Parts: sequence; C-alpha cells; structure tokens
Amino acid sequence: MEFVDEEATTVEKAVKNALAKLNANIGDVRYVVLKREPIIVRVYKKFKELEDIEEFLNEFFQKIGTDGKITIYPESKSTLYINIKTKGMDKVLIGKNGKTLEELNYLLKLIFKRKFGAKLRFIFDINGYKKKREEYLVNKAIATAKLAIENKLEYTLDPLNNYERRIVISKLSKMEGIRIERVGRGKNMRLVVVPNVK
Amino acid sequence: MNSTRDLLEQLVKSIVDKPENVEIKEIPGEKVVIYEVKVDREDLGKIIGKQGRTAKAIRTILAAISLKRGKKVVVEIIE
Repeated sequence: MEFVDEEATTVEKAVKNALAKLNANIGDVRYVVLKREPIIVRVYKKFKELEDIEEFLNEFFQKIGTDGKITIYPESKSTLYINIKTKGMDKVLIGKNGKTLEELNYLLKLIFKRKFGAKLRFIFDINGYKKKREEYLVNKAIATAKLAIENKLEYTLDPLNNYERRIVISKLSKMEGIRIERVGRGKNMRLVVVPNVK
Repeated sequence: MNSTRDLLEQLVKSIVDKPENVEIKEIPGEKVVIYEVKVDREDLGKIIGKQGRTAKAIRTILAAISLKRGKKVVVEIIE
C-alpha cells in the first residue's frame, strides 16, 4: 500500500501536497487525520480489497446490532489498521482487558486471510482501544526503563500479549542504557528491563 | 430478532470451504439458546481450529454479544 504522511497548516493543504507526491487525483485516494496539532494527514491510494473489507464489516456490525463507523488506513506497507467506532456494544466487544477484542482479531484475521491471502495483515480495533493501550504500555515501559537506569535495578513488566510485546520491544530497543530480556515461555512470558551498568 | 443466528452464519460461512453445506439449527430456551452448527465433514477441522482456537473465538464473541441481549448461548459444532 502506498501512502504518505504530510504536515501542513490545514488538512486540505496536506492532502494537496500528498497528492503531488503520490502522483494521484483526489478520487484515487483516501486520507485520515493522524494528528490535529500540528496537522498530520496520512494519504493512501485506494486498493481493490478496500470495498470488500468495508462491505464485510458493515454487514457484520449490522448483525451485531450496532452501527459501526469504520476507519481504515495503512499502518505500514503491508498492515492495515481498522478501527470501528461504535456505541452500546463497545464494552462488550472489547471485553475484560481486551480479551474479546483479541478473539475478534483472531477471527477476522482468519476470515480476511482466506478472502485476500496472506499478503495483507490486519489490526482490528474498537473505539481506538488498542491504540490507547499501546500508548499507555509504551509510556509505562519507557518510565520503567528510566527508573531502571536511575536505580540500577532490574524491573519486570506486566504480562503482555504477543502484539503488545512486539511494540514495547521495538520502542525500548532504541533506548540507550538498558536492554530487554525475556523470562518464561508462552503466556507466562514477561519482559525484564535490565540496566547496562558496569 | 434473529441476528445472533445470522451473525453466526456469516462467521461460519466465511471460514469454511463449503458454505453451501452449512446448517444452523436454533434451539430456543428460556434463558439459554443452543445453536447447532453443522458443517461439511471436510470443514470440521477449519471450524474447530488448532486446539479448538477458532471454535473458542466464535463462542466468546457470540457469548459476549448475546449476554448483552440478556441471553446465554451455547454453540455446538456437529458433523
């Protein structure tokens, strides 16, 4: 998936700049406002699976009995982030600690893999829950890493699922002064922040 | 309102190779509704998944949605 991120004073300007870079017309693209201050817009070219994805999800949420507003945008070249904004059923679909959302992800990924092949990857979200949790986990991990450096002590992070662990590792691996170690296996795996002290 | 059944049907038919052989029987009860899902013999593994992973996901999602509607559901997969 081709996309560009543009920063500008208005959304319109950002989209216009992006169109030039993508060499596309407004009818060929979609965009999503990633940030309001400053304005950052992600503009991507429409792709053939888009309508099928929306059709399936619209039907799905209609049957659940809630009107979901679907937002789709590429997270990377091969991964699509799909958020469904919904009222009434959101708590039910997210579940305790996001457990139901994980099951929903598993099923929809399975279905979409059958429909579109393994080339595309998906992240399904409800009301931005995953994004918010991701942000929280990363901030908490960074704070823990700072504490580890300051106190020259090891700290064990709370249990994370595979997806969350990947994100936390990718962020923390860029930090200097600490390294990440894994303890335990499978569901019991925990990350330990270890300071690099001599 | 029969959308739990429709939802189950959409999910199951999207997972199997032979959606035309999918049959869903609804057995209503006072508090619990049982859904008997019949799929093609060759699709049985697909609908159950490795170590029951797929069946578990279907059950979890249906249970969550139905509970909100004040019903308990049981999903049984039969040959």
